[in-house]
Formats: sequence, C-alpha cells, structure tokens
Amino acid sequence: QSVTIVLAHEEPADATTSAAHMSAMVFKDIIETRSNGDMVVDIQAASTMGNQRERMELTQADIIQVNIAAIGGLAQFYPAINAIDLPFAFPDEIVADHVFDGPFGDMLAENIYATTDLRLLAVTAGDFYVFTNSTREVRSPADMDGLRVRTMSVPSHLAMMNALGAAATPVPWDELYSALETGVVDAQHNPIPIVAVGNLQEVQRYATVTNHLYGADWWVTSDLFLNNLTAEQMRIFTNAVEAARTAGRGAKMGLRATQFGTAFLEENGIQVYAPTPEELSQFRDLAAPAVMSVLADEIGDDAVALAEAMLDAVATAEREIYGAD
Amino acid sequence: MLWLMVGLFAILVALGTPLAFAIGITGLFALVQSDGPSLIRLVPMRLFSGIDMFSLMAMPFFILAGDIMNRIKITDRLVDLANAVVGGVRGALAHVNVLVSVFFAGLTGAAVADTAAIGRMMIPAMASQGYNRAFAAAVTASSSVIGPIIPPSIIMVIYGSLMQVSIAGLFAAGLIPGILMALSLMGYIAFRARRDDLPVANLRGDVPPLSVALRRAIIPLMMPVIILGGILGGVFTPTEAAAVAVLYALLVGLFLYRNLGLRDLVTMLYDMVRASGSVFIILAAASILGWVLARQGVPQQLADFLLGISDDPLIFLFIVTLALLIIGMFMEMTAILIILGPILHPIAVSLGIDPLHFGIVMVVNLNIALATPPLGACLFVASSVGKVRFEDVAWRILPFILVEIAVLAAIVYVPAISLTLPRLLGLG
Amino acid sequence: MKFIARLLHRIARLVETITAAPLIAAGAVMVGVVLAATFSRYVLNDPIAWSEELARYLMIWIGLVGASVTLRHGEHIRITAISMLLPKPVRVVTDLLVAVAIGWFLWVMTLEGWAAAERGSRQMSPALGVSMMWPLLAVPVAGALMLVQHVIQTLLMLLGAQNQPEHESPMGGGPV
Ligand code: NA
Ligand code: NA
Repeated sequence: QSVTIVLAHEEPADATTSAAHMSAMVFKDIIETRSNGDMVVDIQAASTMGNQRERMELTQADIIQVNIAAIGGLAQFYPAINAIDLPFAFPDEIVADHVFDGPFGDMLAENIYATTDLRLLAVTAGDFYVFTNSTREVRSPADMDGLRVRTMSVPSHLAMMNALGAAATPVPWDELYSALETGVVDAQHNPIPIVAVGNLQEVQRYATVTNHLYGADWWVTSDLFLNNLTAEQMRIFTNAVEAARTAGRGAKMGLRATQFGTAFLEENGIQVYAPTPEELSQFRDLAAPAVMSVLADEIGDDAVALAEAMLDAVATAEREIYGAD
Repeated sequence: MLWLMVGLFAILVALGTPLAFAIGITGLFALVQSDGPSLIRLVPMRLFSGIDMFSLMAMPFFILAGDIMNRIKITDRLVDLANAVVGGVRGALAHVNVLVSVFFAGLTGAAVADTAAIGRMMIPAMASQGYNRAFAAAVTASSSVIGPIIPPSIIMVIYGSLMQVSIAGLFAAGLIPGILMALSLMGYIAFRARRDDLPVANLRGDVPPLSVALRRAIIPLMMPVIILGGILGGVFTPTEAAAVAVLYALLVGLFLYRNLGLRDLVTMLYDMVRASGSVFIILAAASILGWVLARQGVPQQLADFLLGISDDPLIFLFIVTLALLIIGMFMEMTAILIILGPILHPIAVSLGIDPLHFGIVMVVNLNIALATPPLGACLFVASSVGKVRFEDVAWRILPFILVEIAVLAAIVYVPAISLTLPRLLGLG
Repeated sequence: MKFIARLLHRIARLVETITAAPLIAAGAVMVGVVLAATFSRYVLNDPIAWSEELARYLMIWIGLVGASVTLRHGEHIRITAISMLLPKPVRVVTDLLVAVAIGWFLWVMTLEGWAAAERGSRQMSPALGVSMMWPLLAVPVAGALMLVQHVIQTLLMLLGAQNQPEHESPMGGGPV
C-alpha cells in the first residue's frame, strides 16, 4: 500500500540557505525514487505544522511522521536532554557526530524512547554557537561583565551567561531584533545561520567565536508509523534517513564555507574574534560547572549522568579520531 | 474542500454567528473532514499556541491604560487643547473632533474605542451647535481611524508579532501617515465649512488660551513621549511599554489627580478581561483555520495566483489594497491579519516591498475598512452613540472615505511617507 | 417562564462572578510581573528569568477564559445586519442551528482540551519548570465555562429574554 510521510521542520523551504531543508529534500528524493512512487514525502517547512512543542505531540500521534526537532522542543518532553547543552563539551563537529553516532547516541535514543515514545532517527546538521554584542570586543569572560545577554528562557543557558559575568535576559525571538536595536539587550548567542535569519548582524558589532554550544537537528519518528512499514519500505526509509543524516552534515559545512561562516559576519561590518585556547578555558571553567549544578539542582540525577556519559564519549571519540592524548 | 469551507464560513457569518465561532467551526469542520489520522486534537493545541505570544500582551495593557485615562478624565484636557489650537475658525468643532482623535491616538490604539469615547462627547456637542448629527457622526467615525495609525497601536503590535516585523519600526512608520490623514480630513472639513457655512462656535463658548490649555495637557501629552522615548531609548520593549503606560496612568490617577480608587481598578481590570476575551478567542480560533489552510497549500496557491497576475510591486499593492478594503468591510481586522497576513507579507517582501511599508499599508487599509459602508464597525458605533440613523451616517461618510482612500493611495505610492521616520531613527 | 428566565440570568451571573474574580487578579499580577521584570532589568541590571513565561501563561488564561465572560454579555463580535432580514420564524430555526454548531465547537474544545492538558502533564515548561498541564488547562476550562454560558444564553434566547450587550468592547465587540 502507498505511504505518505509528512516531514515537518521550522526552517524556510529553501535548500540554498537551510541545511534542514536540504536534508529533507535528500530524504524525499531517495524515498520517492527508490519506492517508485509507492512512498510519498510531503515536506512541511517553516513551522506550518506547528511550533516545536506541537510538532512533538503531532509526531507522537503519527500526524507528522518525521519531525526535525531542536533541543528546546525535545527538552519539554525529556528534560534530561538539557545535558547536551553543557558548554564547551564538544571540541568540533567531527567529534560531535562521532559521539551521536556511537554507543552514547544509542543510549540517548533509548532514553528518549522511554520517556517520549519517540524514536530518535538521527542527529545531524550540527552547528556551534557564536557570541555577539553591540558594546565591546569580548576576548575573555572579564569582557562580559555587565553585558545584558539575550538567551532563550532555558535555565542552563541563563546560568551559563550569569556565571560568565553577564546579565542573562530572556527575550522572545520575535522581539529580539528590536531589543538589540534599541539597546534593551546588548548581546545574544546563536549559530551564524540563525543570526542571519533574524538579520541580527545589522544590530550587532562584535562577534566572539566561542563555539560554546552545539545546536543540531534531531530527527524523530514514532512506532505508530514505523510498525506500518513493510520490510521493503523500512529498508528504503532507513536508507533515506542515513542519506539525509550525511546530507545535513555536509550541507551545514557547505553553508558555513560559502554563506554563513565568520566571513558573513565580517562582510556585515562585524569585528570577529577567535579566543585563544587559554581564553577558551577561562570561559569553560566558569560556564561548565554552573550548568552542571543547574542540571543537578533543577533537572535531576539522570541529567547529570547523561552529561558525564557524554563527556566520556567525547574523550573516547577524541582518542579514536585524533589518537592518544 | 476550500470552497466548502468558504461557503460554510459565509453562511455562519451571515446568520449572525460570532466571528470567533464562525472561524472555529469552519476550522473544526475542515479538520474532521480531512482523511487520514484524526486531526481533532489540533483544536486545543492551536487554540493555545495561536495566542502563545508575549507581544500580544500589549493589547490588554493598552486597553487598560486607555480605560484608566478616560476614568481619571485626563482626556478632557486633550479636548480643551484641541479647542485652543483650532480657535474660532469656521467648522471649529469638526476640526476639534479630528484633532482630539490625533491627541487620543497617543494614548490608545483601537479605532472602535476611539469612536465610542469621542463620539459620546463630540456628537451631542456638535449637534447642539447646529451641526447635522449624521455629519458629526461621520466626522467621528472617519477620524477615529487615525487612532491605530499613530502609535501606540494594538493592530501594529499584532502585525509585528505575527509577521516578525519590528514593532518599534512600525510605530515610527505610522506617525507621518497618521498626521497626513488628519491634515487631509481637516483640509476637507475646511472646504466643507466654507461651502456649507458650518458653525464657528466652540465647545464651551470661551476658548482657553493655548498656553493654559497646553500646560494643562502636558500630563496626557507626556504619555506617548514616555512610551516612544522608552522604546527607542532601549529602556523597555514595545510590550513592556504598554505595561509602563498602565503604570503612568495609575500613578497620575492615584497620586496627582487623586480621582482613582481601588474599586475603579477592579472594574477596569474586569473590562480588560472582557475585551481580551472578545479578541483573543478570535486569534486563537483563527490559528486553527490558518493551520488548515497552510496544510492545504492555500498560501502558496494564493501567492502563485497573485504573482501570476503581475510581479510589479505597485500592481500587487493595488490588488491587495482593493481586496482588503472589500474584505475589511465584512470581517474583523485581527482575523484578517492572522489569516491573510502570513500569506501576503512574504509575497510583498519577495517583491522588494519594505516590510514596514507593507505593514503600514495593511494597517491603514484595514482601519479605513472599519469606517467604510456597508458594514464598518466604527459606523455602527458612531450611529449608536450619536443616536442617528445608520443609513444617514453611511451616506454622509462617503466623501470622507474617498479622502482617506486618496491618502492611502499616496502612502502606497510614496514609500517615503512611511519609511522616512523609521530610517532617521535607525529602525530599518 | 419569567421565573425560569430570572433563574437562568442569576446562574449566568454567578458563574461569571466565579470566573471573573480570579481573572481580575491574574490581570493585576500580569501587569505587575511585566513591570517588575522591566524594573529589575533596567534599574537593577538583574533580569528575571521566569517573568516572561508567567505573564504569557496568565495572558492565555485571561484571553481564553475571559471569552466566557464576553459570551455572557453577548459581546462577541458578529454581524447581525444580514440575519435581521430573515423572517422571524426562519430566524428562530437558523439561530438554533448556529447555537448547535457553537455547542459542538465548545464541546470539542472542552473534551480535546482536557486530553491535551493530560498529555501536557508529562511535559515541562522551559522557564518555570512547571508541568505544562497548568497553562494548557486554560483551554478545557474556557471551553466548559463558555459551554455553560452558551447553553444558558441559548435557553434565554428561546424564552425571548436574552441580555442586550451593555457597551462596545474596545476592539469593537458586540453585534454590529
Ligand atoms: Na494610537
Ligand atoms: Na474624531
């Protein structure tokens, strides 16, 4: 029988600027060509199916078959996942990909399934956060003193910025541009493509490439959907997911090299600074313990355990990829 | 399916179903009719998420602030000021009516509320000086559309939140179009004053000297200064500014004029609850319908259709303006914004129209529709508070509407009218 | 008949009072929280993390549940000009049909809203860290209260003893 897969994400329906949409297109192409029209993919971009929380619910109900979630959406259903936002946990995206594809990723998928009934398919299109502000060049935590930094209303993000000496300020996304423009807040942190989506480069002057957080696309589906697939359909589906995972990562790197890297910030008149290893460790020594204690106090032991397992997995991955320490 | 939905909606509205329910029932019907898994669980999800936006809070806040202003009689001083400014020219009270709308515009943000508040005061006053009641009601209804064009403005807050356009930028962009609208209406009134020999007399016989009236009006006039200054100065966001407006009015009433009690506060909060209830349920229900339409690809079809006619921005604006004038006569404007805004706004941007310019065009457009016969809400309110036959007001308002459409055309054709001020302030 | 109408009016008013009192308090808290957050950020340079979320959820409660207050006063925005042209007996039938359709919507809103709130008990709000059930409960509570007011208003309509709306709401409520 023929199968329609609704794939939902929140980025614009434009594969030239969105890695999520590019990976969705790859998924669609493989499913539709390999199944010879037996399976159809209906991509619903730009949050047309609903916001993060709604899309998770609709995926649980099999109204959406594949959802590309962000950590914020997952965290409302599985709070321990905030552990992934332990600052400076990942040295680069190759190590991060290795961690999410390995035993740690499998354990995470099991935990997510146990609390949400959702199957984690892939973690892809990851990107690091930069810190931008309108006031002064930030080289080390000492320069952050007193800056009003916009974060999402996520306790670990707020704690991190406060630990660095800034005043963490929750501002809704739809008010962020004008808040930065008028000076209600001085600073924000996001991956560069998100900076570009919000045109924030117009209202910021300095960027610090701290790479402190790793934001990725989390592909999830439900058993309700998977259990209805025939063996042959399952094979095609798995193939398409694997291809989309590879494509998402490639697309993100390609976008960074061509459109949304630090060059994009510089072209828009932003002064970009890449901290030295010493400066980065100053950031890490303040931020990581603060977030660890938020995980322990506000979320629980499972989050702490997850964070520790993640750090172990990162150390293992670094050894495997780059050799002995 | 789409036509079935349009038909059901039209029948429900025609039968007098409250708009929120007509929208909600149509959306629910479409969800139940769709094949595949049951979509009915979307009803509560959308009702919740449709209004889960911080910036929408400006609406209840501005409603509350305006209510307090009226209760502590701050607004009377603005009427005196308008009197003093206009002096004893021919048609003075008609000019005062327009000017009061301009001054009120700095305090409030909704045209229908302006019509009610100003109409209650001005229409009997004008009638007692020998103006035709229907003419007085027409001046009131047509000039009340200035209220939401000059900041602050509830409809701009909703527009900015839904379309992710700078609310501060929209506020700045509305100021000159609003003043232009007022000047055009006063120009037309001056023409009528000479032709129809309108009365010269003023509101209370003797006009307070401008300096006295100005001094007494400083407190209400400070409010828009504080709101806009605070937003532009980075003290608070536009949403927070609305809460600050409430605080300002409260402080004036409690400590300066001392004519506000705890009982009044409870009554006004109660009015805020009632008013919020009538608007938020529409926004919530419309987001069900918006989901259904997006799922069926209607936005894309409509976009393709519009772009198929022409990809000239001016022609696009012309079509949109015409369509909104017609739709706006029949539908509530927040509902129009929430359903059509997300479709039209991206097209406008893709055609190279400045988002602030397009926002102002839509806001001005929808507000004119509020005063346009046969079904503009301001007309009904003006006829009811002015105690004059609806048909008479509808007839008398036509030349005023033509003036306003001419102003709208100028705003469409000359983007600089909207964009100069926000650019000067560095707001896009 | 008169007695029944009076009783219905009294019930409607009682339900409204019980509904409105907490909403009025919520409105005051909403204003206070936003002002406190502004003060704390701008003057003390010490932003409050949870204020935005708390105020937003209060607003949703006020907006949705407040609609039941609006309903009791017949202030929901609508167009009566066209239906007034219908002959009286036809209008009774169409009014009843409309009432049934509204009842259907409110019924779904209540039942499905309850199911959604129950699902929400396994979800956490990002900033306050409370169960999402509390904010989501606004939908079924609003649906149930509107249903009560709607049934009463429909009965009053059949008895020909319906309230006239008292004043226009600021955004243009009431029949136009
Ligand atoms: Na205004
Ligand atoms: Na006026």
